[in-house]
Amino acid sequence: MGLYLAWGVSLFSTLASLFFSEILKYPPCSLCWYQRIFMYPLVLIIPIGILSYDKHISKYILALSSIGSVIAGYHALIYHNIIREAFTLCTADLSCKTKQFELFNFLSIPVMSLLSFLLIFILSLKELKNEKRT
Amino acid sequence: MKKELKYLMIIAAAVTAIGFVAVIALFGFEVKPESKSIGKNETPSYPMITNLVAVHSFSHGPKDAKVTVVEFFDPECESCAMVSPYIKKEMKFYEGKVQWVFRYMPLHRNSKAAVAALEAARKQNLFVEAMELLFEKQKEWGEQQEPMNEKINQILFGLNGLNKDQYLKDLANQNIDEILKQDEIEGRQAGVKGTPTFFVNNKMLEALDLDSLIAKINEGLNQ
Repeated sequence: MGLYLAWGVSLFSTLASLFFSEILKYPPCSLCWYQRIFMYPLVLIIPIGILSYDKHISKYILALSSIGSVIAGYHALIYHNIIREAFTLCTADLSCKTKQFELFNFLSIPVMSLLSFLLIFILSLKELKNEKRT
Repeated sequence: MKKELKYLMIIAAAVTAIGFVAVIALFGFEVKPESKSIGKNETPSYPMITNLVAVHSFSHGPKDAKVTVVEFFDPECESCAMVSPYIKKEMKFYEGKVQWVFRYMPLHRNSKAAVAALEAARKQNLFVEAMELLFEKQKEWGEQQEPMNEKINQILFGLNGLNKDQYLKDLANQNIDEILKQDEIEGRQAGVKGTPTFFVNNKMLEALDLDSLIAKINEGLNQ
């Protein structure tokens, strides 16, 4: 069941990120793009793995979601001023710090991304244990 | 149908439903894209500029100096705040030899409010001081979603020699839209994509570092 939930999270994240960029027209910054690279494939990889009874599916997910978590974590730290971004030009649409959307004042886009990646990571970690048992 | 496929479809349906509810709960039925204030393809009504020094721009140093440095900046830009102390030092070092011109490229939420404050302070000959103070205290007012006009005023009231009443009067009576528009259009024509962007004698500084800025200034002075 964990895999299904992980898929739901990845699908939700993908749709949410597309909603922000395509409908609300928030320009995605470079770090957002890197997170997308690791989130979008999950939408296809997880159901294909489930439907073909792939015994290694959790490893693919672990690889993608762990890298995604690191990028999202880095992004969240920059966004919330905990670490400094490298010295760059300030531009209209590319700062990874531009405040765009915050839910309840702390749930920013990078934090939501981080939570999604971590959730998927944990769920696939559980799945890895199941796979080993069988 | 495979039961796995059925589960996947249930999840997809659930996600779609949650998504719809979330969108309606958070944004209502009107989902509007953020309006972009910067008209990227706007054609200017006046001819291309060859000299980046606009009449309205603040300048420091002799008008006939051999070297003119133009900085396009945004008071809310972090990188501009970082270079500010160094620019201050170089302004002192090249006093009387180099003309420094400051032009605006507002890219953040409160940039325009800060520019308005700078223009009001400029009327009391406190432009450079106000700019440095806003950069120094940028953390207190920058990167916010709400308007920070009050906070910016509070910060500038700390300036030595600022006449508060006159400042507030000037702030209310001035119109900075034309200045901003001209700076923005001319800046984009000249190739400014972000801030800070420096021009030494009308040539854009490709690498953003102090050493190449100083080298270009010296080169110009020795010509």
